[in-house]
Amino acid sequence: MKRTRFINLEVMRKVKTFGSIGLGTSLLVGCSDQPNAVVYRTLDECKTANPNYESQCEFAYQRALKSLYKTAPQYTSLADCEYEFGYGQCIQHPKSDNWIPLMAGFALAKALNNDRDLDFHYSRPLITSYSPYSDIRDHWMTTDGRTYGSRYNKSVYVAKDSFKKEPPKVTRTISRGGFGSKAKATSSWSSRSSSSGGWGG
Amino acid sequence: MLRIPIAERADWRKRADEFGFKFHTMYGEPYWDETAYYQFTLQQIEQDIEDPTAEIHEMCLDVVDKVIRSEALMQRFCIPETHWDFIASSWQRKDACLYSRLDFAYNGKGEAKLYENNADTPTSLYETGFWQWLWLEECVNSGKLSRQADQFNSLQEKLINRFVELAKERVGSPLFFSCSKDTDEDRGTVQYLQDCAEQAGIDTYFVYMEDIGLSEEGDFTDLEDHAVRWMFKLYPWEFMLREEYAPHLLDNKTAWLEPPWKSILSNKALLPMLWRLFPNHPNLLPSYFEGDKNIDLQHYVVKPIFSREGSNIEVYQDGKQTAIVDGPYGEEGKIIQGYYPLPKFGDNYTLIGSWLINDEPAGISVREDSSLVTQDLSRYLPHIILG
Repeated sequence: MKRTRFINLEVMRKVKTFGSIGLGTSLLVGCSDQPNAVVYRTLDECKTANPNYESQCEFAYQRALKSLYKTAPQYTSLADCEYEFGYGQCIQHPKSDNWIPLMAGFALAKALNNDRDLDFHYSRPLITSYSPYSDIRDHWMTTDGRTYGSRYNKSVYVAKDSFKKEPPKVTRTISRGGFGSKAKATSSWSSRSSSSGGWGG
Repeated sequence: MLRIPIAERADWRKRADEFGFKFHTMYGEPYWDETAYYQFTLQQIEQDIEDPTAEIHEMCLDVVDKVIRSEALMQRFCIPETHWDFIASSWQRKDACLYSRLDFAYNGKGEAKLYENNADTPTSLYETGFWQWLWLEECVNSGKLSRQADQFNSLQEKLINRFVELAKERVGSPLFFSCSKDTDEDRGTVQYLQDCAEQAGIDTYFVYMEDIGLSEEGDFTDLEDHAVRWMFKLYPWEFMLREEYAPHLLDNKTAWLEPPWKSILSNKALLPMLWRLFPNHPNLLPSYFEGDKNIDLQHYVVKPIFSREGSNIEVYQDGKQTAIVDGPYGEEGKIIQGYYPLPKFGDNYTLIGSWLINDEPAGISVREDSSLVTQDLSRYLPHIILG
């Protein structure tokens, strides 16, 4: 065979159709694994549980929300989204016109070397379904389609690679826009100025 | 090699929406065209395209090795002197590369002839690696095409495997992706690469080229002030070496995909150099630098050293100009290449793009144009292997 043997179409799909999310396509995590993450349903829940870490909770929550907008399954119709996640469980994506599930909670990883502390840099959005038609009803699920047991669990085992690391930050960006000028100059010349075209070849 | 009409999948536009393929129609014209497909034999694919692709790639690497050792050649290739060391050390370090696309004129018989090497910023990757794969899968499942039909297209599999290899060298490093603004096609191509990298377990981030910043410490940054230490950019080196941040490339430790040494291969000066090093190679067209002595060509094409998508190309037959495509390129000098028209199938001129992941041939894309010079507006057609 001269072609790619297998492509996971669910992973490649940008907009979901109803019924495309289910336990069948998810990676189930073994029960024997020790919980390594804590789940909070709301920002307040996080703050109450960690009284001295309110701003860290805020940060982790915002990070999870941002990640939700980036990675949540998108639906062109509200009906399809609600079919999967339940009535009133979907919101409109702030940038596209598509529909995505609400963030039902967010998971915080436990610190690697100290099981009691939380690592607020590693947060992930969790979604769940209230729909009777959905395989993932009452399960926690990450936006990559992995499920993590019952929605009533407050601590879960999350595969290590599920937490995306924050890249290192610089102290200050002193200028922007030092790349891109040649593309602009060349494309504004182009007769197809309306669309400008790419720089690929 | 045959061009065979076939009924379109009734729901392909809906499928394109689902999978985020936004640029199937560009400038109001169809780009993805599944009203026909090209059929090759396995022998045509393996002997006439796959083997020469691997061989020419090796020859191209020989050219890089020659050019970086010679100041005169670096000048011929229009590499700014300030960045000679930057590029040479990228080659000496053997900086990893990801992919390239060689364009061939091939009609099913005889030798495929190399038109050019898109080694730095090749596009039509998503259409090739994923979308035409899906087309074949669905046409076979619906009984429109035989179960025996195959495709020369292991691009996605090889891309993911390549990212896995690259990640081993940089365990845990996030990979930033970039392209310029306002182009669905480039953003779509970059998104596809991000998807493949994520499937290889790499954390990916995106920032537009125009939004890249510079920190006090000399790091490039994204809009959230993250330091960019590893970046894939769908943006030509020949631009980056001439823009405001060019000097900061020198004192900065970002690892780039494609690596800086690719600036030598994406340059049309490559073609006369190949002809010098490998004269009369069956897959090469005679090529010269403008001003070379003893150019013995009746019919030839003049191309700027830097150009994309058929801009600024002049065709001469019996010494007379017979075609010209306008464009913004050409300041940096031109090359002359023997005239070898694209084969015609019906009313269409057909160009084969042959892909490599690192140094392994990985598949083909077929593009058609109603004119002799392939441009952005050409149409993409799927292909199969049968027999």
